Amino acid sequence: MNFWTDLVDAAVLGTGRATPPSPPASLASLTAGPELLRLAAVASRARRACYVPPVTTDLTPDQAPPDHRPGVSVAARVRLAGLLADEREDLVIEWLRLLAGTGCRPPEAQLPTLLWRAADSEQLRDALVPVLGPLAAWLAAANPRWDWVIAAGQAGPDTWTTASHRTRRELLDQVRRTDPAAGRELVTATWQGDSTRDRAAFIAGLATGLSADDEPLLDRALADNRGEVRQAAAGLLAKLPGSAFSQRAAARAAAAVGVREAGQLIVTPPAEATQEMIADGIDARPPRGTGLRAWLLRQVTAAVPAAWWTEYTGLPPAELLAIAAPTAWAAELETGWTECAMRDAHVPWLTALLDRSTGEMATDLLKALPAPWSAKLSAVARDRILALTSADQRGQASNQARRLLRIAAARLDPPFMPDVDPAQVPQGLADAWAKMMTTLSVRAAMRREITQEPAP
Amino acid sequence: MQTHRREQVLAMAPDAAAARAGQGQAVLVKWPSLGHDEQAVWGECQGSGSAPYRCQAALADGASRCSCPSRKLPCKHAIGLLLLLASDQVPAATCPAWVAEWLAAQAGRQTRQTRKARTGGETPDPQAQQRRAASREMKVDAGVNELRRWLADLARGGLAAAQAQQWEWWDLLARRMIDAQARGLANRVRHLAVIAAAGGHRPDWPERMLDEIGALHLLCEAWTRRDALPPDTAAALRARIGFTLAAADVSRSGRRITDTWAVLGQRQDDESQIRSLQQWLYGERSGEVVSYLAYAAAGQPLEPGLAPGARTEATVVLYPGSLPHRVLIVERHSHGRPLGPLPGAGSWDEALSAVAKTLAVDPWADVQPVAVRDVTVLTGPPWLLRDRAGRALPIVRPNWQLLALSGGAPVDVTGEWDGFAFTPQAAASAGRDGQLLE
Repeated sequence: MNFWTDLVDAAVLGTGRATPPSPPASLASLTAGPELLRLAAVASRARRACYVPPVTTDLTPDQAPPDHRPGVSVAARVRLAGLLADEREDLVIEWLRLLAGTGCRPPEAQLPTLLWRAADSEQLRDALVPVLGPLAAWLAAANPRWDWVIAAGQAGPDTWTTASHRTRRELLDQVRRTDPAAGRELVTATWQGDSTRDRAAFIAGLATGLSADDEPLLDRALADNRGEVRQAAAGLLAKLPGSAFSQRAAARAAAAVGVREAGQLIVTPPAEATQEMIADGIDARPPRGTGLRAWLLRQVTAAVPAAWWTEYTGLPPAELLAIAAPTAWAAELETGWTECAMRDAHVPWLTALLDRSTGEMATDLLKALPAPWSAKLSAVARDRILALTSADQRGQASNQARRLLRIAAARLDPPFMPDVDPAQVPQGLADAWAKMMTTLSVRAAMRREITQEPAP
Repeated sequence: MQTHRREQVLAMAPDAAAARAGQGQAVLVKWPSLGHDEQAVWGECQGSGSAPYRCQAALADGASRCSCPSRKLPCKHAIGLLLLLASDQVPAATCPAWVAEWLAAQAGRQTRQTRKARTGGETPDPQAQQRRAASREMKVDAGVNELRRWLADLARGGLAAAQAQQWEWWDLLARRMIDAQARGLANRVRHLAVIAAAGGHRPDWPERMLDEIGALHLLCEAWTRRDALPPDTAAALRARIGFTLAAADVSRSGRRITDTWAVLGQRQDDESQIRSLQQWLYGERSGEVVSYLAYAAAGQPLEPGLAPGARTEATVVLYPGSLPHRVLIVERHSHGRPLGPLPGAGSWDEALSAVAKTLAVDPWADVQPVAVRDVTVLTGPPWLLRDRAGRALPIVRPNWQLLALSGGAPVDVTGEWDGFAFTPQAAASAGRDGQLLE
């Protein structure tokens, strides 16, 4: 019936076994060569010349619901495409966070690549979910690999009891952003039946929208029989200045450390771990090689908010560190202060600690600070990094300096580009330095582009 | 101002290492002095030596010079410089004397080249030329005869037997065709090998294979009767067999078209021994669709075409021969501007109506650029693109990017039709500008 398909069938077998069909009169023009080849030449060209696409009755799919958010500028779209092509996931994540700040929709053309990559990367997924709109859910309905989009999109308070651990965490975060009380009720509702892992994560999730109203729930968690849950609760309670917990913590810190008028520090570490201390999350078993009193002092120092120390002593962090130095407990105090400064991302404390730190400590301090860094912190960090790297002329601690530059590249707020004469950069660090500058200039460009007027 | 876009600059790099090194140079801190004007971008780069390298690039064609010792062209400094310019990081300035001198020398060289191309350069020895041509034709004769015998064996043994053959079996013949100076035939034999290799997961492989065999047989037949063919078809035949024309000859005698060309499709191959770049250029006023094609040995720079996914005012010269015409870009009159709406026919019927006319002149025109408006993506399987009339073409593989751009609504699409499936290359959703697909 169809000459071409009959011819193909004959060709598959070969003329040794099958006879080519006889052609319609219209295809008899070519005369030379073996019959099958002749027919193939003419019929293949004829099929191409006369090709008419078949009519299909497949159902037309529903269209994606409209997304009323504005689009981004062409420059921003091109940037994202470039970052995806270069597989710079760190910068893609940052780009998405910037996008979330603008209220624009992600560019349609890059959405599939983002969804593919996010299917394999939890970090990317966390950054992508907040900016997804109706188009993503519509696409996901056509691709089973993107089921997670639908799960994330459907998460609502009514799915709290049934959703996966991760979805519940995301859901709690969403609810806490807009209605902290409702979020707290969600956690309370399932508290009895939830696993340790769930409870610890949900308590940590209360950090979003934290207020004094959360204290009863946090106190309840503080009495939990699992350490992870207690620790998560203690961390948050320490951040609530008016809580009974933080008053107990402050009393312990004040008992351990006092300032004499002459600017001398009197340090009296706790002699033993009381029931109250243990109930408040303080660990009574020091690691091997550490004395009990040193171990308790360190925890007591860290258990109050970083800002409390300045209020309590009336001294700025740099001075406290200076007068702590001659005491017998200088190391424990500094460790405790470092812990609370990092936990609270407290810039005055971090500045003071950074100033005293050597390469390794500075790297740890800076690493502990999640991006994006505030302008103030960036300025401090930049100066410290410059001082540390330029002290590195001999390249002795080059690996340390390289690590610092990598951290700086990823986390400095781009207006705080190290403004340095290239000739001043130590020879051995030139490459790492250039890489940092490239990354920083890309990050600065990302910020400019994302705020540009979107294309029509 | 943005002359060459980032991906274009990277495409100019002679190899992947140079592209990477160039990105490393695209950092302001490495350039103590830097500037650009309408014609050029320049800078002084601190290298390992004591004196900085002076590097400059002309914006019109990306030609560059650098005082560094690298023999790669463009060198990493030139690539870095163009990348900085592409990301808007180079300040406008008045060009220093060393740049102005170079630009003047460049302009002089180009005029000489154009003049040489117009007058044909030195007069070649016509007798020697004839001897060379005759010897090449004899080689092709021998190659064609060998191919005929091979095809006859294949027809007897059947496609199923051929499909089971290893790559080497096909490659042996392809090499013989290259020895016969018939690269076009060699490429088609390699295409057969690809069809055979994909056989397991492409149910239409017998059709595709027979189609290619038919084209090869027709090439053999046409070669034997080449003196009796109409001139256009004879030219197409020579191009399809693998005869190439010198760019100078083409620019002297070919038809010129000045138009605003939109690059609505591009493929680049950096993996093979011979790198290649192919672009479909759609003429806004002329309605012509032409093909830009560049080859370079691995490690050599590819002559960039026009800005991909943008519109550029340019003059091109058509090569005679295969359709759609291959072109030489002789002059760029503007920088790349954003793509507007996409051109296109209202239905597949209308869009494919030119195919028969093209095949009447060049029956080996297997891949055709096609532009169509208002088609809906159906996610099958197989994935289809359906026009307003309800007719649908299959697309090569699921294209999620196209689906995302459409959001289920009709989209305008340009791409390639190979007689079996459509490959989308650019798309525009209602009322929006077109975008190249990845």
